[in-house]
Amino acid sequence: MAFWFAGSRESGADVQIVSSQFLRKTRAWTAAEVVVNRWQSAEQLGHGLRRLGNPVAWLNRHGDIHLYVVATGLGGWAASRILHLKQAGSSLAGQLRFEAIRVLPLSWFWNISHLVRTAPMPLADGGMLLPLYFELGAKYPMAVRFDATGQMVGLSRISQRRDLLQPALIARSSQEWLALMRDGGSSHAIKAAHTTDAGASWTDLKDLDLPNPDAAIAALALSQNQFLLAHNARGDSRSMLSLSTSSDGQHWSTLDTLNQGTPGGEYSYPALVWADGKLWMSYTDQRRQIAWQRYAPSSSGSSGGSQ
Amino acid sequence: MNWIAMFTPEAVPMPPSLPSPSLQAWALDVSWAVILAATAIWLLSCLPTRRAHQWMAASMLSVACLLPSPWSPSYWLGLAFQFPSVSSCLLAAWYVSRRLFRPEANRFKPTEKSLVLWLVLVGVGLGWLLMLDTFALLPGSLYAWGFHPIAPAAVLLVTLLPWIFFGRSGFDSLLHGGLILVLLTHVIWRLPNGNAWSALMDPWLWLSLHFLLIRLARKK
Repeated sequence: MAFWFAGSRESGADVQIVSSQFLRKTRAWTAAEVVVNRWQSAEQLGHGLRRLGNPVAWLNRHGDIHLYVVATGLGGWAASRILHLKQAGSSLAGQLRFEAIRVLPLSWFWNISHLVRTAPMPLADGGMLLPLYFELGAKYPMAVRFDATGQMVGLSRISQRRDLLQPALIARSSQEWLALMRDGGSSHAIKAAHTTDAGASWTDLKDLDLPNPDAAIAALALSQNQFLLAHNARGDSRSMLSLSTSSDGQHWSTLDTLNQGTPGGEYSYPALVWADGKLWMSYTDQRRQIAWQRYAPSSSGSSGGSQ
Repeated sequence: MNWIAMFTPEAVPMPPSLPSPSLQAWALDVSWAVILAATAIWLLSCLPTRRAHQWMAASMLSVACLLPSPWSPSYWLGLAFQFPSVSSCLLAAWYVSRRLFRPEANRFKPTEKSLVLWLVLVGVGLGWLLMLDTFALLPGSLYAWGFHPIAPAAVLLVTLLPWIFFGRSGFDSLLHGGLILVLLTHVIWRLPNGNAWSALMDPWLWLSLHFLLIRLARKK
């Protein structure tokens, strides 16, 4: 299942959250359907939501889908908050529907300027860690912990630096986790931080030896010593998107080039997920369509398309 | 005792219980209704208007908050500022009731002005810390501590310090009673959003405390 925001333009008044399912039977994606509408969610919350964007989905152990969506207040992206929605009813019963639960309480200053982008990291207790970031003036990464039922149980800051955003989390053990981050500063390298006490405290690490043109990344742990990273491999543009692999999360080697074009081209905002014994990845293709690819572990080839 | 571990957000033994969505939606309307009523009365009382007109404006604004979503002022105030603090709401309710039942009493005269100054200073200082925390200018995460079960008790302790140190002369039943009511409202219903700092103060109240502090300093 895939979720994305769609409308006439980014941050447009008509942007809604849409979804599509890949059906095993037909081996094709279903037509996109609107699953979150800002007016309906605002009605449920009792207060307005100005714009929607960046949906992040989490399937809990009970089979319920939770969605975390950027919802702006008065202002643009810098006035964003994070809207938490939960699947209403069963997806088997027909159209997928979501009910707004709350806007996550993340800061004292009118709760503004928090955004989500990257996938949650599942935890052994059935809960998860949702990576997010603040971006008004300073840019810093955070993580919010949820229990198995989707109740928020705590939040912490990932880095002491103030120019990092969109953390991607991977676990090296039950206690040792790694956060890889987009560089919002001038060094154009992927940043890293780690925790050895299950998120109670985080320490900044030295930059990875991978360039980053201020672009989003996606990371996935296949096991405790096998990690994947989708990233833009040039430091000056988003025209090349690569897939890299690592055994420790800090030293990476390129596995494949997913797409590349002319210097003005853009293949960006990747997402990775492991399902049905395969690696699935999606990314935006020239900001006009969403492309996807699927990798089987034993073959070097892939299948894919765009929607 | 390991104080650092005790105050680490991830060390919270129980999940922070957040208010139910339905209670939160109801509280949003009621709290903005009370604050709008108080603001209307205060603003109009600064102008040469009749009391009846002040009450009419306050009533209309309050009732408007109960209208369906896009027609309600609370819908738009929630969009911009989310929830007012419990303190702001109770202060507004106290102001409205005072104007309603004791209109001849123009000024609040606390028994202990030093206590008012203490509370204002604590409020202004706390607001600055929370603001620095928002922009990651503090080493830890102060806002996260507001979800800790100990937070309301710690707040109560700080505000009771003058009473503890100075005995009866450091106590004002109205001020301390109001504060206990704020904390009880937060502890029982987890309003406005499950965080003790948000229950205690919002940015608008914090800004207002700066003006009050300047006035108190000038009087001294």
